[in-house]
Amino acid sequence: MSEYVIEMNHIRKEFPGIVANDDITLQLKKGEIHALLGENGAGKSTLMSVLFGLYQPEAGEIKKDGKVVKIDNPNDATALGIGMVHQHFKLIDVFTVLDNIILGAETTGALGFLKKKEAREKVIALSEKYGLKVDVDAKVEDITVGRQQRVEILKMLYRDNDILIFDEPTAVLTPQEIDELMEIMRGFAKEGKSILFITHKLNEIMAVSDRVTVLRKGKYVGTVNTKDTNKQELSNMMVGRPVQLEIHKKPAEPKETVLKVEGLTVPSKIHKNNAVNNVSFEVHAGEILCIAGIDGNGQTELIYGITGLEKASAGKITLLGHDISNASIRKRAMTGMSHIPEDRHKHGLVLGYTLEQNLVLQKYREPRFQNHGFIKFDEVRKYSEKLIKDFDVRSGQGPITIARSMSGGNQQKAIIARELDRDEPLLVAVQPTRGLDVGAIEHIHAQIVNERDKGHAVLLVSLELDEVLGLSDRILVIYEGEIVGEVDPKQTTPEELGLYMSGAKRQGKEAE
Amino acid sequence: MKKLLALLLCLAMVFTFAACGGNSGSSEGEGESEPAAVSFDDIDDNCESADGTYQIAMVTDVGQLKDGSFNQFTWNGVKMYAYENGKTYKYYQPANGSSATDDDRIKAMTDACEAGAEVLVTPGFLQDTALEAVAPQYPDVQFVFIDGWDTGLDNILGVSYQEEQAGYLAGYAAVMEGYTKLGFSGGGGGSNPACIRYGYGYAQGANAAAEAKGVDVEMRYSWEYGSSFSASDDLQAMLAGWFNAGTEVCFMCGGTMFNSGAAAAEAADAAIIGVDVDQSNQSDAVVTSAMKGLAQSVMVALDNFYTNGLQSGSLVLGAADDAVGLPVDTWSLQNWSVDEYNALFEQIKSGEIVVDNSEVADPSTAGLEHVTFVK
Amino acid sequence: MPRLEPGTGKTKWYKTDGAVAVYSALISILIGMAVGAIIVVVVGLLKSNITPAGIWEGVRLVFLGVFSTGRNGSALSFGFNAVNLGNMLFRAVPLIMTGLSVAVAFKTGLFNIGAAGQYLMGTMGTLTVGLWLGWAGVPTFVAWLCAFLAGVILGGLWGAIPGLFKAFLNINEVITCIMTNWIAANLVTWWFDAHEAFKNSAEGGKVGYIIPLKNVGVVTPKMLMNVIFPGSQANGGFWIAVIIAIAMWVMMTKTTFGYELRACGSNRHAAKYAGINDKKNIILSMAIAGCLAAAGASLYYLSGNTEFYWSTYQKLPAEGFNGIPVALLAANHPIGVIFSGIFMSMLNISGLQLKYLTAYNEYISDIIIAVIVYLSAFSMLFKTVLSKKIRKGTGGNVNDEPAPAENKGAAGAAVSQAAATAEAVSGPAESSLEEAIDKIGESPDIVSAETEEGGEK
Repeated sequence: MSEYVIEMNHIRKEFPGIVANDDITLQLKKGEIHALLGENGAGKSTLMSVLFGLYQPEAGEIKKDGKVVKIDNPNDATALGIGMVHQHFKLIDVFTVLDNIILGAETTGALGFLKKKEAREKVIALSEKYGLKVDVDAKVEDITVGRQQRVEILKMLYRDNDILIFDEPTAVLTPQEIDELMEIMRGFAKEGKSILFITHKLNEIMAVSDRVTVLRKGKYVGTVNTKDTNKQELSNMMVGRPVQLEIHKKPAEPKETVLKVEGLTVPSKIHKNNAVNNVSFEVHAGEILCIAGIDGNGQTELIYGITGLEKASAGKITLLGHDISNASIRKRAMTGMSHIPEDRHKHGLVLGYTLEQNLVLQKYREPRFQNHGFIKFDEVRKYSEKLIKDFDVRSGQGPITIARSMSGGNQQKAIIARELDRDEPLLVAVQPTRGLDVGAIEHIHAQIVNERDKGHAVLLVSLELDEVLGLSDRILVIYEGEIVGEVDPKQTTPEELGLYMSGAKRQGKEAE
Repeated sequence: MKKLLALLLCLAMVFTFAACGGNSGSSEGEGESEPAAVSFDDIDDNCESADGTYQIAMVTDVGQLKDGSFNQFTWNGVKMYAYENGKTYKYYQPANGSSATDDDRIKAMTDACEAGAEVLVTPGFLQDTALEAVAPQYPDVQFVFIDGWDTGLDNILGVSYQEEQAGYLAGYAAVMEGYTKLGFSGGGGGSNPACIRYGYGYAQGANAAAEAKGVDVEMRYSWEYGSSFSASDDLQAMLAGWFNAGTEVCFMCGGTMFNSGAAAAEAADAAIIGVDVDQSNQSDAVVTSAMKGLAQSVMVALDNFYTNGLQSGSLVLGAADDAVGLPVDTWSLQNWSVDEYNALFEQIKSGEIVVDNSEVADPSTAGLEHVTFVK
Repeated sequence: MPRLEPGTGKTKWYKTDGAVAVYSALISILIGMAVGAIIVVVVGLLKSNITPAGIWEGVRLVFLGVFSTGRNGSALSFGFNAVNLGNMLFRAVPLIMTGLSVAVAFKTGLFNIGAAGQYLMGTMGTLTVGLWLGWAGVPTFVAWLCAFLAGVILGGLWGAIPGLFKAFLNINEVITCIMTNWIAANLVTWWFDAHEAFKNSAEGGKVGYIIPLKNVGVVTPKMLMNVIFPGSQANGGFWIAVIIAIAMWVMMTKTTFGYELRACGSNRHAAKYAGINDKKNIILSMAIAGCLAAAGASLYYLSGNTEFYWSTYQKLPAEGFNGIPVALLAANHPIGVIFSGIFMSMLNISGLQLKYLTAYNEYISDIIIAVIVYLSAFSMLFKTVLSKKIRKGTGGNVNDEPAPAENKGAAGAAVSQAAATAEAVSGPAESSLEEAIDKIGESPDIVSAETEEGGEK
């Protein structure tokens, strides 16, 4: 019996024009949580797809319990007890949780009727055993993303998998859900199941994993024991150079008011209450004001209300002295607002457009880029090439790359390039580093600070506590659509912030 | 895999059609007075000649070949004649179906002539323009213009019918059956000659029968909603109103208008009279049909050409040629016997009764004593 | 990921996406024709009255029908058939225009299944104004222009209706399009039924048809078509259609207006974010689609010899729906639509030759046409496969991302086209099609998962 349940030795996987995995070795011990760390495009997902049978490697071998196995498709992987929770869940929205779990592994009785009763009992037993609480009769579309992930996990357990692959499982979760997931993963490890955990978040690795394998640009960098390393060392391995995890900035020098929000109220699309209720604040030139809070407390709607993507039902918004409460989106932008949107695929980019077309998305009407309605393609090309160079946006074919085919980090860089180049007095940045890796985050943070230092006002919305505390000059905490406190990042602690964010503490009430 | 499936599907369809084409005829040539040893359906619609030439050709009117009416019965005559005389035959459908232009018809006729047609049968007045354009270019080809007229060209034979006689028989039969409240719904908006003759004959027949029985009858007479010869909800609503108001039988004179009449009559438990061909198999409401012998007249015209050479002018067929009549085998008349019908038919055939064939679109102006026209 | 050294510059022209789209269209057409030929053979073998020689003739006509010149002696002859080729272009005009209508709307993310209704409204406008002005003795050119514009404008207004519903009430345009189709059908019937003057009562009771415009002399000039294709029905309408198609291509790709339209189509949210008035663009896009479909009808009836069977309330014009496969085969490219429109028209000519010259009947030829059109829709599939093959061949292409990620895009396009109808039925889909594909297909998104999108909802 081998020490390792899974060994992937010297794996090589090529795609046309690119080597995605170059001589990579990964060994997974029984009962361990093994993190796979790497930047965007380092080859993590490709390696896992090879293990899961979605790709065939050009070289290398895979061993299960010391024996060489051939995994031609996901069915082979399942037969070997390998299960995977994909980053994008593979669930059918209109099916119930139970139906989703048994889909593809249905037990049927005579005449092909489903034996749902047995399946239900097994699912309920599993969910109780591992603390994966979920309503088996709810439709998937009606449950939260965190619950959906549990459904995915239950799918693996239902199939009696004992090698579990989690592909970026925390990207979609709230901090509480992340903690719960960690607990569940530890429980699996204790049970003797082996876990492969793909991530680029160092905190999680330090918190839960036993060992870490680091990949960089398709190559194997090394495997270390978590207890023998630290975040700095891991991020250096991952990026290939020393990385600044701390954000360095001068103290803020707030000047005149740029944006003034008074009594803003935005109705919710989901429930009857207002998503944003009577919110007032000011953002000054030369400061970064951060709206902190747990996802879903009205941050999205607040920004929609300010940028005009959604109509506010009450309140006044003043930008540089102009009342823009009822102005169109374009009018607001022209008055002096640039906006890095929360969802880069929904709002930030036209994915079917080329990079250059996306880079002029806010500017195509300027006389510089059009003549009587005809686009000046030379100007667009010149301009986009400059932005691509200045902001180091990497893509396959430069300006003519289809945005859809770019990596997430570079898509975000393109948006940031576009918005920062507009050089507007107010920058609205919503989760600007969401889903990005360490190197990219460092770069974007520096640019936001630079924007502040130029004397622009920055309104930042972030869910990441590290980012909130590190980047902002002033923090407003939003809870259930209301501002419940203003704190100074230099004087507060994550714990205090957490109390505000969870609604346990409230400045107005404290005074009473 | 998908492609295989598609192929199988196609094959399945092909087999279906092949089965239709190879229908072995248990049904006799219904409604045609010509007794035939071989039924029309036994003869394949498509024949392949060894050298790609076809002696007898037909260019269809709008609608498909198997329309259960005009095209089909004309074609039946072509097929039967060709079958009996060992000729090759082919039909041509102008491109683009109901949106065919005169140029498309010209193309179809030209192609037929180029493919060696000796005689070309063209049913339908719509073909007039194309016919007069093509015929002079093929002076040796005989053109038979069904439902047509004398065009003045040497090689076009217009074949028309004494529809007024068929209408007369139908109107007479209806009144003899005991109906006193009659209706007429015609196609062509009151400008189609054949429909006008049918209708006026129908009114005359009803008048004559009323006089013979010593009664007076009532008639509703309309060209409304019929200008396109097609069924419509408006037409059906109008007829339903008639039937509610007491109309007992209505002569549906024009194409698929029949369907509106049948629907209204079935709902009101009333009766209708079919047109052109025996339509008794299309609805239970049909008491009888005013028929003209399409297939038979085509065969007469073809025979004339092959025995006597090019024909021109117009051939008007009526009772004298057994080319109009009622379907005695399939009618559902109770109170009027076949013998009585035959006696009346003989009177028309011999000229004892002359049915006025003038184009009177509104018979209420014709002074028919025993028919009251109501609105 | 290792970045290979940049290649030697641009992709060769025969390896561009556009070229690949053309190859895949041609391959699918050839496969369609081959299957059509197989059907000819099978039917021929099954039918006792078709000889092997007849089968061979049928097969040749499937591929070369448009070049058939009838028979030379007893053998089929082929060559330049001016009448057939001219008629092909004549009949291609409405197909090109309705194809453009569907393609332009699709580029804006709208599925215009209302081309039939817009076509009818164009017919009504053109015939009514053409006849009125013709009778009034207005100079021919002015009458022609007014008749054309009347049809186009009426169609545009008709097309705008589903756009308005979509923009302001978020009612799926497919539903409104289907409704407006039938409203148009009844409206047109009502209009002509109520106006006896338009009915062709001059010719032996042809009252089911509207008087053709040649009777009043309001006819599109031939513009050399009679010289190139003597004896055919082709006229200058074809050149006008080609010019309109080129204009559409310029509009969609070269102007800020087209940029906005396509942005709305590709991602309505992002367009809105960029300050583009998405409502306005949806309405305009549908109006333009309506104008194009109606222009097809206008050009068709302005040819003069065409007669409109006005009792249309039970039947929508086939041209309206044939625009969908035309656009599909052309991958919604306005210039491609010219060729796919001609191709669809060519199939009818080939079918006609098959019917006229052999013992195959109209049902068989219609099946063959349907099969070829059906298989043409697979061009998207071939495009995906081909681009994969060609990318592999180029090897050292600069590509930061693995190619399969792009294939996802191509496959996505194919599926989204096919899914358009499905989506239409299931109502406005909130999640984007890409997401749907992510859920359906296991493989295509694995590599793109490398792009690590963070907190997707």
